[in-house]
Amino acid sequence: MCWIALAACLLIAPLARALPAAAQIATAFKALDATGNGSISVEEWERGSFALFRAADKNNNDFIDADELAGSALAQDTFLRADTNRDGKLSVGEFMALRRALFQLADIDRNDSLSRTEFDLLILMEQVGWQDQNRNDRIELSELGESLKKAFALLDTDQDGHLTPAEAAYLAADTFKHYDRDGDGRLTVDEFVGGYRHSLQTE
Amino acid sequence: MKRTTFAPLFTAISLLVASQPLLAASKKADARNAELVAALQAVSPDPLGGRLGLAAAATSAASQPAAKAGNAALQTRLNKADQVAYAQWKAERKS
Repeated sequence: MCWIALAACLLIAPLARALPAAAQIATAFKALDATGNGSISVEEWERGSFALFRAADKNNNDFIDADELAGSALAQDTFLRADTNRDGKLSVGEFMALRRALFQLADIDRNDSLSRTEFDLLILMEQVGWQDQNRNDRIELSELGESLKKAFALLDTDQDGHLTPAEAAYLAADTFKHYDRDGDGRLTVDEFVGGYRHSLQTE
Repeated sequence: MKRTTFAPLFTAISLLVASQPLLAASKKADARNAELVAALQAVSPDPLGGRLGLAAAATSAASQPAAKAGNAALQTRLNKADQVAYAQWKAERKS
């Protein structure tokens, strides 16, 4: 049984390590939120995207070439899909079309801005993905639930059906406490999913 | 004669003094930009958005089929607008 648990931990652990700490997410959100109004506008997202494009465009030729993107097979797949004119490189336009599509997906409440909760979810779903079950190019709350359950299973490294603060270190402490409805210091999957849904509906 | 000799020097010094705030602002903008990139890369190392980016690339928002004439023209206009906006963004960092 020990080796089964060990194998399970090895398979599951990567997500817990892959997610940044709450403080890093807060720093990134604040950096994007240039006006400091607590949400990221389309313009702020686009300016941040320009900065990322410039950083990736190492030879400053206004294209991201395939070899400038030191990425995984996943990133290469995305590169191929985003390269709509099939010239083997991403123009500013192709990159921004992808970044705008990302913003639109993350903007779950469709108010043309990203709240802190939506930004947290963006980071989370970059790791666990999302399935567009109704094929409408938007994340519905029901579809979000499926992604969150997947994330919960991956974060729950000891597979005891609860998330401890250590397992959910990407969540800010006050957010964890807010989601912990019964106050027992850990989150069930219902509290985890319910917490996000409540935050999205009340923000 | 002296006025003619010193005028270019005074002009040069005045320009140098006047440009200092602009240079300082440019350096500040570069530093802010570097911080922004570092902060974003710390939480999202893949600028293409990881698994969500792969899904986003498949949505109609990101991949307009070039075969449709109407979409191709719109796509060209949008690409051009992005190029102009990006060039302006780069120029703001240099000025």
